[in-house]
Amino acid sequence: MSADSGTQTTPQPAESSPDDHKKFSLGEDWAATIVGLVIFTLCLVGALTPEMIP
Amino acid sequence: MTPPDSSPAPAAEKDTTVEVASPVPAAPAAEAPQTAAPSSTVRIGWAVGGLVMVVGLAWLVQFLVGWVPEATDGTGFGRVAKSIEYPVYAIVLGFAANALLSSLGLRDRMSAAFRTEFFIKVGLVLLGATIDFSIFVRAFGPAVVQACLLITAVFLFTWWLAGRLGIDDKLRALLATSLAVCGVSAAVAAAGAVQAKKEQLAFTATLVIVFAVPSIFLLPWLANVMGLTDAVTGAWIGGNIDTTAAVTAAGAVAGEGPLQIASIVKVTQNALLGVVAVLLTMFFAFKVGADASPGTPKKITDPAALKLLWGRFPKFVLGFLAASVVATILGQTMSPEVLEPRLDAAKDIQVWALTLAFVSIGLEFKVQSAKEAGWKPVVVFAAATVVNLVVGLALAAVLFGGFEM
Repeated sequence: MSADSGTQTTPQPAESSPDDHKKFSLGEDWAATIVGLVIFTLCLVGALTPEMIP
Repeated sequence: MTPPDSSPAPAAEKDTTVEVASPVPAAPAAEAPQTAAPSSTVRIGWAVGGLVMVVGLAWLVQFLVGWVPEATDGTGFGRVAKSIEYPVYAIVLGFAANALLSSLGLRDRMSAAFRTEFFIKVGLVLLGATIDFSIFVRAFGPAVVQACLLITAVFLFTWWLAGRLGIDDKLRALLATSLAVCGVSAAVAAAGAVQAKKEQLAFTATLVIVFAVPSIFLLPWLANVMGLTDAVTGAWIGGNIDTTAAVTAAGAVAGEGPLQIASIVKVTQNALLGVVAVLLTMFFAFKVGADASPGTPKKITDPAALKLLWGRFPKFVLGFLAASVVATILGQTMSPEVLEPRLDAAKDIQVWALTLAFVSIGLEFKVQSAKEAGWKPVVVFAAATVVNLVVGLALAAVLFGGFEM
């Protein structure tokens, strides 16, 4: 279609599904959630204090 | 070593490259062990270098926020300097470092460390701790109504306009979803749902960033010029700017109140992404018919649809809500003398996480992808952004006009 021909000038060696992305993105989603909650917990129990943060 | 693909995009393509890299057909067996090990070590080394760069720039941002107003006090720039918030320094420094690293040929090698999505999600979980859950409860209803109406209006307009310009259906779906829901994450989900090509995803993600960055500064300024309340400003920013990182940056520029409402509105939109992904998957499955893969849901009640719904649900929203609930409960049960310093620590780290994300926005941007965009999708994006701005402002004014912070 016109959009394809008009917008993608770089030849691709192979077509790959962007859904490959899903695995990594979802892992990152959970990782960010866990890291955020762990940091929050450390702050609440007093293990991380404002003085420790530059 | 050099990847053949020259059109990567922020976050999106980087991940794809990670996933696609492993199944490359083996070269001569004798060479494989010699090239694989050092390559992986070198990659980790560059990623660590990139992380040092991101953290160093974030530290510089924190320094400039304090130093520039002091150094320019009493000069003509002094008043302006006091009003410059940390996202401005972070994004400007990110772009400057991007230009420097690109000119030295180092940007791509370090790019594994430029993780806007990860940093922003950590920051948003911590931001949840600063939001009283009662605000969330009161804002949730208007936020859902705004999200449903705005997503529908912007999606249908973008789909229609892209169709009129003859843009391929899969690219239409990516453009419409990214504009209507939440930028790059939505484009990734839509790409999976409609089986779009990798370069279509890369290109959509680039458009999202190109349009989001000016909005970070433009919307808070316009809201100030129009004299909008904190709640309306936040709802407008949260409903309009596509990518969550840019919403947070614009909210932070506008102030604490707008940031809280903007994050609630954006988190609500993020949560609706799964619904859009399921509907898109079913729509394209019906279009493709017999060629659809066996696991594709055909009805909204299919277990596969529910699985997809959960699969696409942004999990960081759960962390955001959990932090808000815990902080609100502790606010009722602990003495402020004990709780306040602890929440201050979480707030300080939240600012660091957001600063890392804003620096990464600039670092991730690729000029090459923008050049390859072509004019039609740019026209669609620009027109739909204007529709989003106007409809979003009207909805924010109606739904959040009487909202008390």
